[in-house]
Amino acid sequence: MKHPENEQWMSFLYGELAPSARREADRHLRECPECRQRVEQWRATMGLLDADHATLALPARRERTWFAVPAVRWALAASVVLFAGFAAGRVTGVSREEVARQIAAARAEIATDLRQRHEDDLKAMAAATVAATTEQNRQFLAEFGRQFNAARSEERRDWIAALDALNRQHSDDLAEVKSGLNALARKTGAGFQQAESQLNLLASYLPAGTDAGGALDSSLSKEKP
Amino acid sequence: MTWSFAITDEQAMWRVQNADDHAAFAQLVERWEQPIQRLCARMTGDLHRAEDLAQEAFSRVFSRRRDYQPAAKFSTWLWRIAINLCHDEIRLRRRRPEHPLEPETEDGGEGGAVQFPGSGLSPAEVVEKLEQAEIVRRALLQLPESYREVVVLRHYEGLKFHEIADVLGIPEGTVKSRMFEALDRLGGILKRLGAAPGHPH
Repeated sequence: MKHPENEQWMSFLYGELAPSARREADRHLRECPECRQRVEQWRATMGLLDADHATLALPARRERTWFAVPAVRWALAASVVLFAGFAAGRVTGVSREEVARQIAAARAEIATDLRQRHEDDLKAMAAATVAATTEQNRQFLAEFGRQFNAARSEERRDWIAALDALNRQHSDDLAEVKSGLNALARKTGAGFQQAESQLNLLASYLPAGTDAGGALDSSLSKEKP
Repeated sequence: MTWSFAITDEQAMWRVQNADDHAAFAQLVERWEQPIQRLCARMTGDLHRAEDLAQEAFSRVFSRRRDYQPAAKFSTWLWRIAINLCHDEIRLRRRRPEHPLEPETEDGGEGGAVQFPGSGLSPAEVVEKLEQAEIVRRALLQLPESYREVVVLRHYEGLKFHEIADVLGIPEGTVKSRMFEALDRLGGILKRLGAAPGHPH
């Protein structure tokens, strides 16, 4: 039996064989356990490599909402193909390889679909960005024009108003300072009085004739009975 | 690729080349930034460096715009530029062993964030997948570069074998033989690293 070259199996595994060559390879696989084992091994490794397919998430500037839908479609399509393969296998004895090939074909189709969706997504995003930017610029220009015109006529009024406000502020400040000073003066007077009465109270507790309380005592003693 | 609203890569590149059209250049960057970044990440094992490398690749595209041959496919030219940058980077790292070729751990900032949008996986399943993915990335980094680039371009970026041959400037048969050699080696490496063959369940 003439075995296909390893190179040919690579084209087979990655779906690059023409339909007739693919059928021939499928037939060979059914008949040749040696090649079947080799191809199964490659397939297993390819399956392991797939673990890194979805996980390499690069710093994304945007949400990838497109992923969800194709993932669902993927699962759906895969299950349909699986079921079809299963049913066909029961009726006609189609090999596992045939089912696997169909799955690979469905997968390729869905990959294309995925890519298309990504493109559509980019397209929509580009359009949205352009629209948003245009709208933003338009609004900005309009606002600028309005403000510029308003500024001209309001310039004088604004100046006067600003001066008035400044003046008012000034006199308000003065008034505040003045009332503050008055309050301080009142508080100071009250403070003096309080201090004096406290001293007097203290003096009343001191025994007569002590040095510390002497003067006060003598001055206050006159008022005491 | 069908772009109903837009120009092809080649048309865009022609505008960049002949009119220094910045809008066309921005469109090319928008289209190709992610694939190029993925390539660089898988080739160097460094997600953050991959960002720089992708940027460098695009700045080379612009500075060498006069060298672009309009008959050639733009993406082929771009992949080649990016691959060469990756080779330079890897060579540089070999000379400075303090930056070994190691895949980054997942806590490397938002750049290393891993998501399974809409996958509906449970946290345990996500963790399991992450571990598998980490093992796969490590395994890839243990391959010789000439094999790794073929695996990345064919398996992950979906280039056809003849396109890879164009990018690398080698015969298509050589690309395929590197591919099966790479798969054979990866099978062994993955087994050593403890990745379960087939599905973990």
